[in-house]
Amino acid sequence: MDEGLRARGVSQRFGSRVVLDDVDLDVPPGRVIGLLGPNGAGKTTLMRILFGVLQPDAGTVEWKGRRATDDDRRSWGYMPQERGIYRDMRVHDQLTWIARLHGLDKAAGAAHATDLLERLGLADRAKDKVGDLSGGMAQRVQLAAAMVHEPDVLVLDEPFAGLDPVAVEFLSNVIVEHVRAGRLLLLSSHQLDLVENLCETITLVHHGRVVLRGDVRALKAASPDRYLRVDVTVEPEWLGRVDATIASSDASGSRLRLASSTDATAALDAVRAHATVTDFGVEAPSLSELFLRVAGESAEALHDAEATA
Amino acid sequence: MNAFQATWLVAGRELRESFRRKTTWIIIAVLLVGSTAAVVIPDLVGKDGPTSYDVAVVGDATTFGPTLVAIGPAIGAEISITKIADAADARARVDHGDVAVAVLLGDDPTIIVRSGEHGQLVGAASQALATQALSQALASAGLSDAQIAKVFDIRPVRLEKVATETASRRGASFALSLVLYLLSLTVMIQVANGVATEKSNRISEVLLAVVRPGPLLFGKVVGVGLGGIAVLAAALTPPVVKLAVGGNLPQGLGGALAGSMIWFVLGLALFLTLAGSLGALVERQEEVSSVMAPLTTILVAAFIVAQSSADSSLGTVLAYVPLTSPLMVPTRVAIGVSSPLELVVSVVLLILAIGLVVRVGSRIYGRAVVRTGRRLKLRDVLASFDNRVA
Ligand SMILES: Nc1ncnc2c1ncn2[C@@H]1O[C@H](COP(=O)(O)OP(=O)(O)OP(=O)(O)O)[C@@H](O)[C@H]1O
Ligand SMILES: [Mg+2]
Repeated sequence: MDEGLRARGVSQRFGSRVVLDDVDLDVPPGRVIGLLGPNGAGKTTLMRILFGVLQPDAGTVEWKGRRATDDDRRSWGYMPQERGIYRDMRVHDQLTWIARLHGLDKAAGAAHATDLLERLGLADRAKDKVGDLSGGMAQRVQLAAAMVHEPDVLVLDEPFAGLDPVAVEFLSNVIVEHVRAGRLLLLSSHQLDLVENLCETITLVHHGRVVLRGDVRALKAASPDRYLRVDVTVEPEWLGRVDATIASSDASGSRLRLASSTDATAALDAVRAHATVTDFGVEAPSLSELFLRVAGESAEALHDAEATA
Repeated sequence: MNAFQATWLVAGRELRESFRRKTTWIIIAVLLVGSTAAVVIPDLVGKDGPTSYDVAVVGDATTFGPTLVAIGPAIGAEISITKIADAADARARVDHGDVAVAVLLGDDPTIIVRSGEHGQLVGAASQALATQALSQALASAGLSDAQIAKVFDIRPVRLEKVATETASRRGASFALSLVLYLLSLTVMIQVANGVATEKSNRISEVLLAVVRPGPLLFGKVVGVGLGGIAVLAAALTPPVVKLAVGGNLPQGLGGALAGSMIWFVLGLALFLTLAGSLGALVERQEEVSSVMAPLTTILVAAFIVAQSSADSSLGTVLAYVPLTSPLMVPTRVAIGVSSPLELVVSVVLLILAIGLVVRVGSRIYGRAVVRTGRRLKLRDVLASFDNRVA
């Protein structure tokens, strides 16, 4: 696979804390790649290393089969987790300037900026200062800054943080459009449920180590776990002798993790004996359930991590 | 895109944005008006008439008085003579400033003047004394009054000064140093603030993914520095224009100006690069002035030494030290105590220092701007270099 971007054996320490430990990452073209993991897993650190913002203690970043150079990196696009933009600069000026830093000439940069603002629904704010825009709009300008030079490689660190559902939908479309054109895309998220249906391939990191990687559908299919979803909130004593545990419960109902010997209909009957079930399904694990299994941690730990983000 | 183009793009943004701000134009306007006034007003006032001097004379002034009065126009002055009976009284009047100069005539003529003042008038008085002595000698040699008058009937020589007086050179260099010093200080804070803002707004990470730290830091230095020089140009245009059209500018300003520029520009590059690196260490904008304190202290100290004792041995040593030479050398040139060797060595050291500071500074900058969460110590950042090597 010589056309992609990859990291090999990347390790990084900060003082005595090991933040990345021998991490490999592959980003092939044409697929949405997710770099996932809870807070503090090392996702941002890895992305910074990809872009040469940090020099790793060990490991290499390769592009098209050879070591990535500064010039290679300049052709990529990066939206960091900590959004950064000149607040007192006008939107269009800023995008044009960033395009020029990426090596475009002034006219081409300005034309790209105009096109992109049009696409992102910001055409009428082109002459405003970024500081005068709403948070969501500034977020779109940030995305525009990462894309204004039409990069082949787009790396988005926590792109969905702080977005409303409409904006999430919009950004998802931009991402899918980008990869459908045969380009590369890497995004990170600690909210596994949010990117469940967007990421096609994932690399899951935990405490700086890769704990799971591969095609999402294949990973789910390969998992021996099965879950029964019901639209009622199940109490533990309802299950009786059925070998199943309550994986999670929320306002929309419960998910029961079934032991490999358990028949799904037996579990469903046990629940139906106590409440009326109008909607149910037998499902493969979700991304967070896959993560919990490999990480061997309690559901609370992940939820706590998501809540503090 | 090479490092030079990147530097220029970063500098260009800095300049464009600064000239888009209203405050920049206000500062330029104020300086331009102030500096024009400073050049033009003394001229207008000065044109009211020649300077007038009171000269006290003790003794028989029948020849001396008229001779001195006649020399007056040659030094652009109107001289009036006051006869005083007694030498002690004359001395007291000079001391109080009632008269500019007192002249004691007699066998052993003496000119009394407050030290350092009225150089031209003293010259005129000596000339008048010489003339008087000569005419007495001619008279005792037997020439008639008419013949003597004929001897002296030559137009007084017009005095044209070429050599500059140390005092006025010092004055000019002080004014210039003050302007340069204040400007350096302002621009330095501006660079450190700019870097700190970029760090706290997290723009640095976006930029570092595209541009190496070196061009990013030096681009800012060049951009803000050129902005500062543009402001300086506004302040210096009126005196330079006047110099060019041949007005009588305070002597010494021209030379000091040209000489200072090399050290000023190089010194600015050095100070601004340091300021940018230090600015990268802060976590919040408010910490900028405290992190800059060592640098501003050096600048203030160098300025004070330059203005008070540039010709001392301390001044001589500091003229070679890269951080202090930008302030020391122009003053030493202005008062004429520097040697060509000193100039060459000091420029070379300064350029080497800039090279070193850009290298080390951009590494500090590159490391520090992505380390947020707390105020960094220079030691922490430097320690992470060793980490890399080990
Ligand atoms: N410059 C730095 N200096 C010291 N420690 C750092 C630095 N950058 C990151 N760390 C530490 O490295 C660890 C991983 O941080 P990183 O930002 O990569 O995590 P993340 O996976 O992006 O987390 P999140 O989901 O919260 O964004 C954290 O413990 C963090 O404190
Ligand atoms: Mg992160």
